[in-house]
Amino acid sequence: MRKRVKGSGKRILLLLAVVMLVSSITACSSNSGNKGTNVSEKNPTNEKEGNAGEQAKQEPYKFSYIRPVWGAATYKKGGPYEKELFSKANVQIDVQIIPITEFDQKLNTIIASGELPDVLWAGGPASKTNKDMQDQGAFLKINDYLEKYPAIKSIVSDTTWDSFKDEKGDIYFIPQPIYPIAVQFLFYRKDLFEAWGISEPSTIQEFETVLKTIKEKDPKIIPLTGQDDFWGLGALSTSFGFSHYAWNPLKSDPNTIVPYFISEENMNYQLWLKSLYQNGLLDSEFNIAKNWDHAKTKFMTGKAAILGINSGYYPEIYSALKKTDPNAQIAIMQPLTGPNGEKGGGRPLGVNDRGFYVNAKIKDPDRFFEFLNWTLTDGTEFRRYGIEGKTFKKENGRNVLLPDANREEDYNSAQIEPLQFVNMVSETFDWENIRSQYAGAGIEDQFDYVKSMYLKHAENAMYPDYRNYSIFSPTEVEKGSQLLADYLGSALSGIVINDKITKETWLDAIEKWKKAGGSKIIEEVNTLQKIKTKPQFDIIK
Amino acid sequence: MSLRKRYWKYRFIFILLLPTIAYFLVFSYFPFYGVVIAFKDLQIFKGIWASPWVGFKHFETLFASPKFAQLLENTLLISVYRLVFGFPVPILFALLLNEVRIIWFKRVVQTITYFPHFLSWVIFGGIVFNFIGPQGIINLFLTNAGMEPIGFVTNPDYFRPIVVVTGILKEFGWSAIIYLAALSAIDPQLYEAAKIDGAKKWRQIWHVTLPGIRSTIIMLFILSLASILDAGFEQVFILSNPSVLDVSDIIDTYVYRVGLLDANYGLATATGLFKGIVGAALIITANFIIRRTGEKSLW
Amino acid sequence: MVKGTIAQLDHDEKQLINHQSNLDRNPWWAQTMIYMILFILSIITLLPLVNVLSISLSEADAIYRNPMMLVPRQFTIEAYQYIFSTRILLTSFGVSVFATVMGTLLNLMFTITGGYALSKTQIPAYKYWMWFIIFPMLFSAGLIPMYILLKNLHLIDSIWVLVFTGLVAPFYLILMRNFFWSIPEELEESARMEGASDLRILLHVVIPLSKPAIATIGLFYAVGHWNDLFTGLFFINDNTKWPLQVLLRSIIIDMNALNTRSLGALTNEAGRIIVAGENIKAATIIFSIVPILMVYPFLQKYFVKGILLGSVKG
Repeated sequence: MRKRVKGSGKRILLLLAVVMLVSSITACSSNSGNKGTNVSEKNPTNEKEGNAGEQAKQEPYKFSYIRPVWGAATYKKGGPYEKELFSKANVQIDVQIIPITEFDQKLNTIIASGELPDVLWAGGPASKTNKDMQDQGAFLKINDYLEKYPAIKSIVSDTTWDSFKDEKGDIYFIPQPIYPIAVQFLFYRKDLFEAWGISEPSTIQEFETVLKTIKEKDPKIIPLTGQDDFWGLGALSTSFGFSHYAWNPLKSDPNTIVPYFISEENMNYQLWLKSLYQNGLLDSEFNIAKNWDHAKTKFMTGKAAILGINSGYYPEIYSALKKTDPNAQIAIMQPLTGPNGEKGGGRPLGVNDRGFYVNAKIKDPDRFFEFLNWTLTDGTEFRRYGIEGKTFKKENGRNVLLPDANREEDYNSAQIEPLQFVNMVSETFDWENIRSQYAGAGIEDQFDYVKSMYLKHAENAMYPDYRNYSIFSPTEVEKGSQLLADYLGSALSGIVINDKITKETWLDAIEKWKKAGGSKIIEEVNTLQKIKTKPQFDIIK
Repeated sequence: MSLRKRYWKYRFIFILLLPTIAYFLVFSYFPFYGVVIAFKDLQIFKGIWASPWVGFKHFETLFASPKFAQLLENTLLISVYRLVFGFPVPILFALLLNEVRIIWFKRVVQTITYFPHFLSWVIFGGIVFNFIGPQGIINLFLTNAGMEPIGFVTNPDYFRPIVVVTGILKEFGWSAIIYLAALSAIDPQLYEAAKIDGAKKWRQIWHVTLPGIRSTIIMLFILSLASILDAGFEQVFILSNPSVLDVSDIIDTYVYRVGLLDANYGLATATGLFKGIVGAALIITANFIIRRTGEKSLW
Repeated sequence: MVKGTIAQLDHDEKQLINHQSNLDRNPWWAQTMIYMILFILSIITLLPLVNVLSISLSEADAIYRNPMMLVPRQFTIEAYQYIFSTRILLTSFGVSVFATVMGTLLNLMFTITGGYALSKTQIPAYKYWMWFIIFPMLFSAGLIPMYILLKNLHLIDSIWVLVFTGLVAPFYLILMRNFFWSIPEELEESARMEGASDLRILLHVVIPLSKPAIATIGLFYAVGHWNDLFTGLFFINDNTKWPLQVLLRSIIIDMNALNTRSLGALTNEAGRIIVAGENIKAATIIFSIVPILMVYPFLQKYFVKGILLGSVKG
């Protein structure tokens, strides 16, 4: 009896093995090579037809596009805006949107299954995944197209284009620039300062004294809070003379660049924050609170006296605070001078982490670049502003974008965002547009003040990232994140709020990291990256 | 009887089983070749087949890490605590509910208590934080009364208890549903018989109720062993912060951080494989023990 | 004759409980304690619901000041208005309903047949068949092979993918099998002796007696479908075919999940990080939970004690 049962069991196993073998073979063939999608394959080549003299209408150019969205994913195909775009530009775009939180994972899955869309949004050559795909011929080389269409070339500076070149000088990535500089402000309650007789500090030392005074005058209020780490207290970090989250040159040897976490400046900054935290001068929920915008909320409801946050939030914070306390007044702190005499400032952002690639096998690539070119030349009004009366209005001779709340549903940003491709760096910081934002919020009188503070921060003392992320260190690729997780994770994240992590623990962790491979990474980066001068960025005055 | 005849005898049963078999063949066993990703450096453009082999490298990444022992300890401790303290709660709750005579009360309680199951940990964790965080309700109360705030969230010693307690609160109502269904399947005649034999309430519970749901309890217990290395990623991720990293870092949160920069599918697949093997070993062991005690086991 | 047996087997929960309470009662202090404990547990688990509900009906500003509230502050239904004005909300709701109803139906069909089959431990190679279904519970190859498979089956971008993936959950299959074990063999024997075929036995004896099990497992499957975020997100590309959860979640954008240092990745073209107001988040939660919460009360009547009368022994 048992023998027969066993035999039967073995047959089941055999069946399984056969099934899996068959599936392996079929899966093998189905994944061979990534093709451009059928959408573009249906597109007949029209170069020979539609000549200059003949007005024969060209077929619209069809291509597929995968792209993230940052808000509600309510984009619906075939809307009026889209129709207008398609007819004006003579294209038909098959857009697929993916929420930003899952974008990378889903896109990777789609590509791994053998489908590469015609155009895909991606993080650029600083990511090893993308670099590999470039090397493997997944993407279209665009150097020639840049030469042919100078409008496209001008979206960013030549230096920026150079930073996208691989070892052979080939460029594949087209960036989509945003704000070129990240400036964090320290907003403070001017009315409270006046009531307590505190004058605005100009150095870190004075700043600390101010915090202590605040705590004395009102033990309940939180003296200083900031949106998690860099994006909140970035203003303070620059005052210590380094660029947070970036690679900086050593003071002792400017020809060697090191990651921020092993720099002495960063250590001093973190230890200083730690002392603030332990003395109750820094928000007890710093780096702990689960709500991403908890710091902003605290300031807006009058629970905090000083807030470190991205400069762009001014209108929102202002109106919210006024609702809580009509007598409240906000001011922006000037860039503070650090303990070593450094003046704080802003941090330029690279543009290498957002943009898109074109599939190497796309049909009729020239027409795609024609389209891009159109959006930057004849179609530039449409691209920037849309349709008059529906997405923008004319005011005093200027085009002013309508806020979503005032637009018809078919024209709100969720219906437009998925159809965006490129814009010019020079457009990203449009003071006029920002002025209208302020006007719309009823605070146009504040605009000049905020602008001046912004420019003050953006002045001389700029703290860029010296690392060229397109140049890979093999060790870092292989185990960079693991080295961080294994040796530096707790120290880096916990230094400010964890009592058990001290200066000694910190230094010890760094030594361990170096020994385990960190030193090798630094060495490789410095050997492979020849150019270590301060990067030039497009600064908008 | 020959094998063929035996299959023929039970042909009705196998016909019933066929759809299930077909489903697993197609959706589980067919794609299983993908497990080779655990031994490869998956390059998405090349696809699974053309990607290079790396042998056991991903396993090394996990096992050879200086943190592995700590990760394993954290994972196991959380799971075991959860099992020991959390497993009985839904059972007790179901038993209590079973004693209720007022029907509307019973229904209302059932419906309310299973609600937290539907909240994601992002939300539920936020609510927990509002209670016990550095500026949460409890600490606000303490500071207003002039006392020192308690670092529930920042003190590593509190982390595991908080994970277990909040986990229980969130799931006990939902987990009790199975036991309630099992309780309703107990033959009332057994109660009658016990009563006739002079058994009081406690003896009834001991001799009728518990044995009646014993097989359900055992089955759920064995099945929960299969996921002992999971420890609840979402919950741990939300409830942890840099102060408690030493006790809160479990296998899954570590893999998540290491794989962050460049979606490391190989590492994730290898870890899944590892967890599956451990789960299988535990199930086999538990099943063996259960069989020895004469209970109906998994197979 | 089989039908007659079943007719006698249907019983009302009320009658049962009255019957029971005539048999014995708990001492008053024990009963009071039981009610009190249950009451406290209910309050504890009810508070989060009331909290979320209140937040959903308050103005965003009011929430900032103190998020712990039990009654709405500055009452407004603007959060719900915002949600209901979301495009394609209705279609995604429809997709979710389809997936839940159709999915659960098929789930039960497969699980009942499979569970019943596996409750017959006498079948040849029983151990191997059990391992056949336990193995997938422990091991899976992951997202990419699954995507490739679904692509080959033309299920990608089809709402049917919500139905066919997870068609059978090994966990529930085993639970179902165990429930079938609790039905005595004698019942089936006596029906068979009366000449009923295997199919009739299954349909007219076994299944009616398994109502608690079927209701329970049906509920689990239904909730699983309704709450499922993953399947729609990864396997459906056309956002107009997304189920409700996927669409709603895109409104909320979970900042904790965005784990990149790059400001570029975090912000959209205008350089803003869009975070929906707290009241909108709360309204989203209520809207996505309430429909499925309503299902359970309807099922509770199936949690009736199965009654086996003396006719079996005869």
